[in-house]
Amino acid sequence: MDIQLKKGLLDVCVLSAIRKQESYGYKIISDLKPYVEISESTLYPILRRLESAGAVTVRSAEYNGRLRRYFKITSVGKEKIKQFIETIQQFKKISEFILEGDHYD
Amino acid sequence: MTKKIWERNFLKALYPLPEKERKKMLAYYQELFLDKLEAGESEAEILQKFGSPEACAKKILEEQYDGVPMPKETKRFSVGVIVGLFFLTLLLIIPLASGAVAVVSSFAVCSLTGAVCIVGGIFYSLLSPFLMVGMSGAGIVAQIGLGITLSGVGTLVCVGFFFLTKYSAIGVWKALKFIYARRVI
Repeated sequence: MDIQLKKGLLDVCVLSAIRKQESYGYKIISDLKPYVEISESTLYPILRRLESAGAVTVRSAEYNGRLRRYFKITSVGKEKIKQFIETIQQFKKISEFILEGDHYD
Repeated sequence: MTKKIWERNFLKALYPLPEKERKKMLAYYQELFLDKLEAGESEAEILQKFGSPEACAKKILEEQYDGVPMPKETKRFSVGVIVGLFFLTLLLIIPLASGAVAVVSSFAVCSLTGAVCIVGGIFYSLLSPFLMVGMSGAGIVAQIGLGITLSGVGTLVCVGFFFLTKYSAIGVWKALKFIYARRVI
């Protein structure tokens, strides 16, 4: 898959994983596992990218006597998901057209 | 590989980054490690899934700063570094500088002594016949001899100290080169 496309897709996957409620690294990876395999070293740059874009906010909270970083989606992040949905709907139309053309071969 | 070694190597592999950033990344892995441990995975399993610390660091470094400005390591001189440099100066520069000053000044003093001896000796020899008017012939010859001996000694002192200075200077230079070649900083 195209690298930029994949990057965008993974960003939205992570945003979707925290859309309903804030989440942390391990849970995000586990929640996404059935759909897409994200390694630990892939997730970190994604979270950092989303954080610097203002799509997520981070807070540290104590859990079991240690600190855990919780990520929460912002309105910017929600807008990103919305834009992505619009993009894939356009893609859907285009792919239908491409698939249709495939029958003529 | 134990967790401790993994963490140490990971930090080492992230070396180009500022310390704050490295600690943040390590904290991220530490959090994941503990979450996985609590979920029932063993230490060896977790580390195996993480992969080698070098590969993890490389992947993060490659993707991390794609489109996001990379934080620059700010070079600040901490109090410790300044104090360290101060003592290094005391330990290295001062002895070397004083060594060089000693060599140069001893050369100057000895050449001056030699020169004074030579000039004094010559004058003494030349002036003896006039100054020692009342003296016997043998006395005058002895005085002239003394003068010549003095200038001879002066010449020897000059030549001797020239070579002594030369070899001391070479020695100091070699010591400097040796220290520079084995420098730690």
